[in-house]
Amino acid sequence: MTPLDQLAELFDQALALPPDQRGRFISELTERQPVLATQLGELLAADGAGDAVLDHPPELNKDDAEELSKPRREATVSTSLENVVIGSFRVLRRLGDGSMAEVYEAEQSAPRRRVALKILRFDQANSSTAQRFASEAETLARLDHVNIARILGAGVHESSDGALSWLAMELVADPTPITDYCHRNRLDRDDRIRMFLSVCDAVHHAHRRGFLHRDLKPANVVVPAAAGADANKLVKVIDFGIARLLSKNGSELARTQAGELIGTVLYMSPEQARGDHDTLDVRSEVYSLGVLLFEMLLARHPHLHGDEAMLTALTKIQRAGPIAPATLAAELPDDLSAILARTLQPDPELRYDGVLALRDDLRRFLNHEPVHASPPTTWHRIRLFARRRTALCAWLAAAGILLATGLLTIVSLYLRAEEAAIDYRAAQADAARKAANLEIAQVHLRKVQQRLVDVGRSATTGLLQASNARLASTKNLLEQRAIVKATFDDLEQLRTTLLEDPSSQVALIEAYLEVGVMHGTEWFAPREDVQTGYRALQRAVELARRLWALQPNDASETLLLKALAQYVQSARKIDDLENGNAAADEGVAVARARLAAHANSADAIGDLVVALWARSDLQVGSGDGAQGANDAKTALDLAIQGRERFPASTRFPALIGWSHFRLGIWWIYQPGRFDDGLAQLTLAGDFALLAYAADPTRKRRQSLRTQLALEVEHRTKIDPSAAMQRAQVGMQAIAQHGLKDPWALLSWTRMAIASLAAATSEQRQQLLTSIEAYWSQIPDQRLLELGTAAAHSVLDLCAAGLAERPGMQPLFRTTLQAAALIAESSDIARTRYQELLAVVPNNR
Amino acid sequence: MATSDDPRFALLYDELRRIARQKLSELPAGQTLQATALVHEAWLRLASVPDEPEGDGSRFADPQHLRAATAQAMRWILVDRARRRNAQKRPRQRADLEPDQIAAPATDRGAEHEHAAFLRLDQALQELEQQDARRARIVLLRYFAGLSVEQTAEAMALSPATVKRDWQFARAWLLRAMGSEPSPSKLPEES
Repeated sequence: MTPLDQLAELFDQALALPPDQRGRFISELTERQPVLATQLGELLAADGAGDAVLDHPPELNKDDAEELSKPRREATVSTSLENVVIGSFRVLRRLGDGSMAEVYEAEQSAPRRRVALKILRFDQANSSTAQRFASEAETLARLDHVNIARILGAGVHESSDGALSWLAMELVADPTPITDYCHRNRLDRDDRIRMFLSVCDAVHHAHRRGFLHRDLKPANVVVPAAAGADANKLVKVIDFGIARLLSKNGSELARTQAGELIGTVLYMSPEQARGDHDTLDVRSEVYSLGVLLFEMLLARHPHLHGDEAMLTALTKIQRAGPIAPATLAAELPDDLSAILARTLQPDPELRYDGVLALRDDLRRFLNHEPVHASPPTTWHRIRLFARRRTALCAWLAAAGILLATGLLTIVSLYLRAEEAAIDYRAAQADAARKAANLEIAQVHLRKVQQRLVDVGRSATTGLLQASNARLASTKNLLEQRAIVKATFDDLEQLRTTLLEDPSSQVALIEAYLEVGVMHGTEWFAPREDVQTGYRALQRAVELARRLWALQPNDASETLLLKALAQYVQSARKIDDLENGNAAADEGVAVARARLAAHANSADAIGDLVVALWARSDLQVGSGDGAQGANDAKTALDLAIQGRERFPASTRFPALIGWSHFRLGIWWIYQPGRFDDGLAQLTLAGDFALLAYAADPTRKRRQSLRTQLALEVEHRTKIDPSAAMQRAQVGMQAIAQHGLKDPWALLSWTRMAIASLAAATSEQRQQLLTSIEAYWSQIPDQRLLELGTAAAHSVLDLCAAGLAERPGMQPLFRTTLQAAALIAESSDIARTRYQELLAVVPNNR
Repeated sequence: MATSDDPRFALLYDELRRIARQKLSELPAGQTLQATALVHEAWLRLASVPDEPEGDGSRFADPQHLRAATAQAMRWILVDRARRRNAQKRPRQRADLEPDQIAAPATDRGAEHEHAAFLRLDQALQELEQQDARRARIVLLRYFAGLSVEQTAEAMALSPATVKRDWQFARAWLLRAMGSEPSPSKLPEES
């Protein structure tokens, strides 16, 4: 509701009446609400007026072009101020235009001195703004530092041009921007840094008193042109806090100064450039100082290259990820690059947390001491290490943090890192990303004391990253399983030492989820491993439940639902029906409550669908299929409704597809319901195609191939030629993205095999040749990813006559090895291994 | 609403001025160009700033925000022009000038009137912004960006019927508010 809504409603009512009855409407209203009635009468009259300015679209003509090229600024003062006395100052001469004011040189009689007098550009002040202005300037005048230009007075001067606000400030003779000064006098690098240290002292002085400059840039850090040897004492930061003073007191500022703001924006931190004025802190000024130092040292802006459009460049800066020192300034020593990178991180959390820390690090650099931005010995060792081992370094950083916080876990974690390093094979990540990761890790390492909250999060994600890296480093399935198990143990240890803050908890829950899912992907994995996965997911549920209870919000609810759904799947694998059922019911209940509270949320509908699936899968798996089918049906109905209500969402076609899929695999094994089941699988395939067309992502592609492959395999039992046609569609869709991914090729192969039944002998030969050709292109290392997942298809491939083809041997061998490794771990694994052994030619 | 506190807006404003200057200087003398056409041109250029899904949601990545901000920038351009033109004419209103010195071509007087009216419109719109942000935004999009009722409805997630009603009301409200300002009859009018 706005103040005008009532009037607008009356206005609409009146307009709905025939014109001759409106007079009466108004006069009736006059008795009750005379003011409104008058307004309404005037509005109706205005409504009738034609040809108003609003009825013509505004136009511009050629003359305006010239107008637009003029500088926007109009002189604040039309008449000369020379010799005019303002406050206790007599104006001597005009010095020029600053960005926010016209600047005059003026003279004070007592004490006798020359000052810079700024006549500010904003709309004439009235008495209350003038008072506020003066009192704020008063506060700024308390800044007393040799490298800050002092404010000597402020006020409002009445003149024939109206009221002019003025500000008197310490005068800098022949002020030269610090960057120009350095380049003009060809100062050497260390001298430049020393001069910059004075600037840091000044800014730090103000920060300690609670002032931000808010407009640090070369034009505001000046040196008298003839400063000579005293330059470090004479460098002055000017206009401290003035930017804020003006934006609070002069609404017209931005409009008048738009052109000049470009110069300013280049030195703003990303958060300041976004306009988050109220949340700025000293770290924003660390950024601005970083840009300044960069330009002092290298005479160029760190981010601007060539003649890129300014807005584009700024947008890029806004969106940039963490900065790696190596990519920032190759011409500087590593430690100095590291210092600069610390100041210029887009994320304030990754910067120095104050000017003091920056200053101290620069001092260390000048003294050839190890700088904190790239710490010493141990760290240099770790860095060498990390150059080759991306994820591990994040983990080491996490370990380092633990050490610094005095937690005992470090010792074991560190030792394990050393061990891991021995058999670690370098991952393929590109060098820049490695460096960036390293940088983040480094920065986290240094922030220990102040930011305990970050610690847990970094440690957890670092641990997980290290675990992933180790997983990628070994070909041995048993080793991989051991790694996952070790990660789980580490997490268990970490859990007890972690802080109770939500962000650490979220990281921990996600880590448990990942570990749990890692162990849950294969159906005939050793029971012991499935147990580990199950326990990880159990933890995830416990923690998520608690987090949700403490902080019931959207994010924690989503996390809880995710944990519950995964846990249910895992419970199904180890036949823990009791706990599984309870969790499934809980998931459905939470999701239902969420949907009830947010009836218009597409996410809430989607989450309920997923919760219902989990329960359905569990019930189908435990023999209560009818109940499970009911849940799948409910999920399907919800997904269909969701699609009708949110036609633009790409999620619902996928949800519909998977719901059909679940109904399909249930029915297809029910006596007499094969056709119904196949119909459902067909719908699943159709929706998977639809979902992929609408949202061609990797996830949708994976769904597509899983769903189509199963459909085709079943269809070929009753209608081989229809199955073959359908297989063509699926194989084409998969092949569009190439068949280099073993998982994609596996689905493709399943469809190819299913189409063999209807193929002519020529087609058959062609298909078999293709299968062999594609498989022979997959490198051994990638074949390992499949583990035993290919076992079923390998049996089919052998049956189809590919047993002796040389191109198939690597796949056959790897699958057989994988099966052998886990053969003794469960009945189903043993059976499958024996089947494979019987058909796969075992040459070795 | 884009505000003068957002430095990115200032850049947008400069960019729009640059585009306008270029387009207008290509114009044959005597021809005019609708301001809204320039706004569209600016959108096309600025919307092509590459957008990454991983981005942190820079403000102008949101097309609706860009639209409103560009319209707002055009409003400033027009206000600046009207102010300047109005100021240039001011001496002629002085009482100490002889009546025959006032005689300017009728079209000029019309334009002069228009500039004054435009400034009052801007004033009135500022008041409306304070009292009713939604209706003010509708005016901004319809008048300064040239969006149709349907486009405005889409941009603001309102129904076209609501936009139509709001627009009619806002128009009447603004005209009424303009009328209560010093009236243009104080200027020398054609008799």
